[in-house]
Amino acid sequence: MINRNRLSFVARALGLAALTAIVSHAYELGGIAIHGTLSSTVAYSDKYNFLGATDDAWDFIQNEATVNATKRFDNGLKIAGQVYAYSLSDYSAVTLDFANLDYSFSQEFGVRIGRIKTPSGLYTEVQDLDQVRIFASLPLNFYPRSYRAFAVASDGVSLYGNLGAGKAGSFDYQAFYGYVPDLDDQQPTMLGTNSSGLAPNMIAGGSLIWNLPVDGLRVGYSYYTLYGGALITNPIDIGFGVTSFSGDLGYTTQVASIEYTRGKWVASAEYKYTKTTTNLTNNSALMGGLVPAGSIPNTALNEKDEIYFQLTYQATEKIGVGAYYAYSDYQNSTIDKDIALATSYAIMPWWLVKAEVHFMDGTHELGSAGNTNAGVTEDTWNYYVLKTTFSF
Amino acid sequence: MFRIIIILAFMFGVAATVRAADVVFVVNAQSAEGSLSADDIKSVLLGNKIKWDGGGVIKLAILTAGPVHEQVMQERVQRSADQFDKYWKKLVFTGKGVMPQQAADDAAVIDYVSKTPGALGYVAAASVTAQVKVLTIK
Repeated sequence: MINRNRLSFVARALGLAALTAIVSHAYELGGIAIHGTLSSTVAYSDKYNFLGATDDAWDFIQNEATVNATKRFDNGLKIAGQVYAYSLSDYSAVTLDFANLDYSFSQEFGVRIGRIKTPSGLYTEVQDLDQVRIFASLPLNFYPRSYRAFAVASDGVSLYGNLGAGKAGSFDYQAFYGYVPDLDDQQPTMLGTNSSGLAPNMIAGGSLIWNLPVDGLRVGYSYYTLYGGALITNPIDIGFGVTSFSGDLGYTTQVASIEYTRGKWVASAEYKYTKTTTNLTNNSALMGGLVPAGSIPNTALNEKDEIYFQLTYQATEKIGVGAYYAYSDYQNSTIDKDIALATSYAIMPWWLVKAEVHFMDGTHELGSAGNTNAGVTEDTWNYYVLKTTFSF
Repeated sequence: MFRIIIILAFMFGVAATVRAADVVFVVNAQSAEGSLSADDIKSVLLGNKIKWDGGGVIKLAILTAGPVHEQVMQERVQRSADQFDKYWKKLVFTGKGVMPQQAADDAAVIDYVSKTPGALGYVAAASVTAQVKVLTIK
């Protein structure tokens, strides 16, 4: 069974795909290089709705279109921008993914000002870039699609550079500070967190990649913290009344990464620690005013440890295969495990098709995009993903 | 048998030597730049170094395929052509780089470099013309 409600979007996507096929190379207009991608993802689960209506049904869970424009002036100043339009589950939006001015004073030091993508781990910045990997999905819990919009970019400043270290290799660094735009109240992140208002506010962080003298080997560490954030929950029945809660939100994440590329093989592993703090109180007076607004504290600390190991092999120019194992420990509740196998096939250099299967053990992220499941009784379930991407 | 092995080893050795010496980096004929270090070449190819030491933006031209391209990728950036292509897509789609000028063959590289002040490219040594200047790699 296929969800027919989204077929019209798919029809439009196929039309654009045909156009992409015609223009399957980058454009240059007045010295501005223009690139883009278009992709569509369909998924099926044997038991649950995840990122769409996938319970025993194939559903077009995600469609994406990206248009990128870049120009470097003769004085070295670069201007770059990217529009990212997507639908995920029942939500769709057109977003300004990044737009910034970039000036490199030297190899060792440059500055970007504007909307800047958040570097976190090996792949957060390129999570939408299907054509550079074999998997249709990055590890599902480690790089959750439902949280993509959460702190994916900030409006501020970034310092970056590449530092040579002689026989020790080199280091790529980024440090950034900025303001994270508020989230739309219908965004999957909001639905998944049962929130009506989420204002992450300020973000600060950095990323350091060490390119070791061993060819193809790099290790990294990245960190960012959101502070000054505000959260408003949806109304909650707390037994003696219904009220929403609001207050402060804090979020910190740290990722340690290693990636080794040798020939056609790429092996990677990452560990992530995430800490979320909320300090909320009730917005409404309850029990006829006996319990005043602001009198019920709702404080929570949620921590999460995650790790994955991934191996991919580009067997030929057209065919690639990969496998990963991911483990997520939600310290206050459950553990999720995910074993995934994937293959990709390049029909043309600009047209990829992918298939992957996930053998899941754990259900913590099932509702992360707001999808509901009646009677989640079994921890083990399978999830199948097909994806096609056109790029120019 | 041993003699045959020696002859074959010699032939392959010579072939490898010739092949390795076959590729040159070229710049615009008007360029004041005469040399770059191997580290600088790697930094340019990876988009880390975008300016000439004497000033001006380095306008990199790369081949899209072929043995010269494969050789440069392996020797200068220790990547396959496919990995190099993906590396640059990551830079472009994160706002960190401008895709190098892509050329289908040596003649297209020579043409671009000869007409573009600040340009740098690589070609088979046999393809070099008077329109461009060969860069010394220190």
